[in-house]
Amino acid sequence: MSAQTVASADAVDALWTLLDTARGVVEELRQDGLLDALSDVLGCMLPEDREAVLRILEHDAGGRNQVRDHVWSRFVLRPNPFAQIYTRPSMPSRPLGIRYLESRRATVVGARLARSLPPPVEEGWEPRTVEMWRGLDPAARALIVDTSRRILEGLEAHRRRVQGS
Amino acid sequence: MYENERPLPAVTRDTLLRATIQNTALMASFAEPVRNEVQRALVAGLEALELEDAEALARHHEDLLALAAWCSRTELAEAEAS
Repeated sequence: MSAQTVASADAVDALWTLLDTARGVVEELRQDGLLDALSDVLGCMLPEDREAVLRILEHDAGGRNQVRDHVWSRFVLRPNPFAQIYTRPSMPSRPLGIRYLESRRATVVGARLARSLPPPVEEGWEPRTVEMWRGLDPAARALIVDTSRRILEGLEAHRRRVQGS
Repeated sequence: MYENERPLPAVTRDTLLRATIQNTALMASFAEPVRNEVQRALVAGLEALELEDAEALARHHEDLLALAAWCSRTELAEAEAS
């Protein structure tokens, strides 16, 4: 056996530590029943939704850290991405419920539906669409416009982040 | 609601606009903390979008704002004419 094919003791130790940590995480999730629950939840979804939902979970897990009753928000510092600051509110945080998760899913489904549309070629809107808008009270109109503007601002920030990365 | 093997509904530009109008208008009836939570979640969901999805969603909301602006101008013109 050549020297190049023999891993160093340090490398083996590091690999062993990594595997042991991974085994511990999987074992912990299995004991809590969370691994099975996660598999069941993903199994109930439309296959094409699974990746999008996992991306949401990854994003949330990356940006937050739950310590007892507090949700800590993480700030990654530049230029050193390994330096991080966590902040927490002074009051215990209420865990995010199904309403929050469903609303986040609505964004993903809505975007997918929008993407399924052909490129816009027509000017104007169907009379039924115009009538629906004109039938709204001012408060509802203001809420819709405000929500759309906030979403567009969020999309612009997202675009800058994606194109800058 | 999720149902296995159920395809996404077929939409047109106008049916998707009406769905967004209807669903967002419904939020006006929510208590403020609930409405804020839903709005926060909608915006947070943008982070996970692919660029093509994000661009499509932007076109949809720009279309919605254009509709709102066009209706305002039309109503103003009608009010001035009467």
